[in-house]
Amino acid sequence: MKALNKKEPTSESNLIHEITNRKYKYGFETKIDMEIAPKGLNEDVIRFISSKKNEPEFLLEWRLKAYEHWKTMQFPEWPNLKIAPIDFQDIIYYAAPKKKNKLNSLEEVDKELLETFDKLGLPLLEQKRLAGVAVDAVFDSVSVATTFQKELAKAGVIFCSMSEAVHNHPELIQKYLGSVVPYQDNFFAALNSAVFSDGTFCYIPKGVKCPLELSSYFRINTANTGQFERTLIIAEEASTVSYLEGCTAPMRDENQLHAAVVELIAFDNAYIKYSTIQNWYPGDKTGKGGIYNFVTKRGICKGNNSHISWTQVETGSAITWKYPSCILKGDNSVGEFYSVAVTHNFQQADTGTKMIHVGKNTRSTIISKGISTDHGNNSYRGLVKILKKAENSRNFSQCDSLLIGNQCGAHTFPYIEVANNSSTIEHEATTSKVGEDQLFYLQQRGLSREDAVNMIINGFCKEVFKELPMEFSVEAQRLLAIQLEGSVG
Amino acid sequence: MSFLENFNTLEKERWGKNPEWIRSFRKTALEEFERIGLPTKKSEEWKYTDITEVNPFIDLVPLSSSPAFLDKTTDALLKLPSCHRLVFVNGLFSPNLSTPLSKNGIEIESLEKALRENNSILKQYLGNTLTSKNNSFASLNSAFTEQGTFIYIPKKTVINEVIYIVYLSTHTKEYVHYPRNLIVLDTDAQVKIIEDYTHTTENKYFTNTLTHIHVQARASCEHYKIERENNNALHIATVEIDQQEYSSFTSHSFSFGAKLTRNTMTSRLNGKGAQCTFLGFYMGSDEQHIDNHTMIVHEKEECTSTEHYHGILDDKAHGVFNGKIYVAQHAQKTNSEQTNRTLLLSNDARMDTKPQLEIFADDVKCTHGATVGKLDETSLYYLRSRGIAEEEAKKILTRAFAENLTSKITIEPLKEHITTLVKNKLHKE
Repeated sequence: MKALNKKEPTSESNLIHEITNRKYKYGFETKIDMEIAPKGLNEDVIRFISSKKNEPEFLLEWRLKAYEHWKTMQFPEWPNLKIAPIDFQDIIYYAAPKKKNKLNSLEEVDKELLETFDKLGLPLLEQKRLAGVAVDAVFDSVSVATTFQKELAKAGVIFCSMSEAVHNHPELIQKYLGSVVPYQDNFFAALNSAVFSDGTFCYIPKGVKCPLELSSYFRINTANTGQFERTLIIAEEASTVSYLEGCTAPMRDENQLHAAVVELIAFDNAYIKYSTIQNWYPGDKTGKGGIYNFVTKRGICKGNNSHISWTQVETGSAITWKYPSCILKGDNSVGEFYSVAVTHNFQQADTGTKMIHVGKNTRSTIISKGISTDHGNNSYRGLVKILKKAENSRNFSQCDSLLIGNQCGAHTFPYIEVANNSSTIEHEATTSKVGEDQLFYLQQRGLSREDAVNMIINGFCKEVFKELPMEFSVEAQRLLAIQLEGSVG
Repeated sequence: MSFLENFNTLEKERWGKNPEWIRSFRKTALEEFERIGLPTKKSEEWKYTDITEVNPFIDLVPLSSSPAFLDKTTDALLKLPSCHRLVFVNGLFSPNLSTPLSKNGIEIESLEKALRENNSILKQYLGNTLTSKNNSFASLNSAFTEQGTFIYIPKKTVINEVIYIVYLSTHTKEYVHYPRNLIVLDTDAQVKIIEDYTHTTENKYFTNTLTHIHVQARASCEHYKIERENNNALHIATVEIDQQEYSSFTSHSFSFGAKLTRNTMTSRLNGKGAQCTFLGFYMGSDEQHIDNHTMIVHEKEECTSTEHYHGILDDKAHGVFNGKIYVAQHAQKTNSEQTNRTLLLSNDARMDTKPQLEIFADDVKCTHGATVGKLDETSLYYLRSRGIAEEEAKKILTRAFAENLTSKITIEPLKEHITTLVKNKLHKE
């Protein structure tokens, strides 16, 4: 790696050495008894998953249809990513911690499991109670614990694992599952629809402002498994919910697959805020291992004046392929996308959003910040589509990229399609490095070079961080500092 | 007859006496075209542009006999007080209307003549470059390379008069022509060139043109492309520029006519400190389709590129813009800016734009911006508050929008002419 700053080459290369050797702190593996489906994908595996979860007939049929469709589809070649071919028959599609009996309370959850989440800084039993966040923890293929269910039920909010929802609220599942992301949507959505094992389900009734932040924590543990979760959030008329997900995985030399689907539905005057801190294992400094993250996220603003906001901080994964999107169907609906994507070592990210303006007076905002260092490659790919009937629509997009080192790359692929003349669309993009004059200014004010760089990068991402719920905003800033520390000068 | 049979017939009847190198150049290009075929909407580069209408023209043979000279032919040309003029009528060089120049090493000639004379510079620059890969229309143009211009400006030579190249269509039947322009500026040379595509017929025809410009070290070239074909014509153009160190190139591209226009313009900055400016202006009405694809490749350090493409779309016109800026890993200290602004005058007009950055160097400053929308309400209000009627205020603002680019024209008579064209088109005259 070439030293970037010729003035102080020694400290620079030391710092780089330090950062490139930094351990991924969530890289441990939990030894626990697991129930595992045989490797590979076929109808039997799908039937196995479905029967394990005791699913109703309609869901099994839907899975099989998705599988049939998936077989006809091609692995997408269009992203700006270099991906070694994935052998879909070499993946375990279902792995769950062995359960003794049905659990009645959190205290009965396996001790090892609780310790795992403790280690991840996610004590399911105590601290989060103070923080006022309800957590659904997903370990490999299944949800292991959901906290605060009773408190939420008082407000009428349903917050549970997808498996529970299938049993307790099949009518909602049948009605809404796949209504935003149909299984025909794309290669990974079809795969997910066929084999999804668990995930989170939220239902916010009419007029309810969800009293707690809702949160899911995803953890891949078993080797050779893929994680395929599915999240469905329904916000009825005039309801409000804020949801956050976080993810980690052990360090392994092989690549592991994560293909999730998230569907959001907002009715009249509803507001859904969806935040992600994605910190899957990114692979080591030579680009070996890491999670392949192929995620389809889409929300529909079904009702008038509804509002969906996506915020994502993408620091992990060897490959990130995700485009959280909004279909702005209701009149006056609002879609927002705030993203920070960091690619380090050999990470690659092809991420962005789609804003489809269907209703009148719809508004969308896109703020995307990409940071590339080392051999990282970062692409913003976005679509703003204004349909003819979406009169007086408004879009503002800003995609900025920061490059650190001359081995990395930044790319933008914004598509803008406008079919009426009462709408206004603005798109701006910049690519630059950390400015020498900015560094000089901060240094002459007495800051060390390292702090100055940190401050500039935090400033660069501020517009996105301020959208995160408070605790996570702090966490995101820390995560970013850890990832980039020493790589700039 | 298919294009393959056409090729073989031409090869036998017309090209037999051509030098061997150009014959193999054509053949290679034909094979390339056969390999890639015509683009479909599935191809990313042609996502928004449907070329079904072009298909039947591929199988037509370019004309071989000189058309009758008509009085109104000269009316269609731009009135430029002093210029070197090369006129092509229906794709064929017209010596009567042209004033070629061939002295002191300067060549402002028809390509046909340069081929006949087996010009060594022509061979050096044309023979060695089979232009962009995977560009079907460029390959097709290369396969049928015969008519067009050859311009060579020797070292340290400044051409004061404008070089004016016109492709005029007068034919009353459907036809195809493949204009090919090779322009070479040797080191420290300077020139201004106008390429004009115009018509006296309302008949449908297909223009598939390719211009290749070599700008050697410290040379400076200003290139104007004026597309004002009739509203039934199909116009597909490729312009490629190779720039060496500290060279300067400015393109002014105006698209007014044709039912379908597609411009693919690529500049490669192959030398340190090169400067490239792309200015484009497009106006569409009725059901016109105007597609501008541009790419600037920063291969070397300290290069600057500026790109502004602005357009006005009315009625059911459809505009497409794709502007790619590529910065290679070692192209440090690159400075690049790009804007695409489109004004939609009608609710049925449509614009698809895709400004694109691909950057592999870190010490760069690259920006792009795109806007699509209607006239600014505040400006409109301001003018109206000053007692100007709404319709008039709109006209003033629209003309001002166009003037951003027309004002950059450095050839006075041309500026006047373009301003009139804009005005006429706005007022639908």
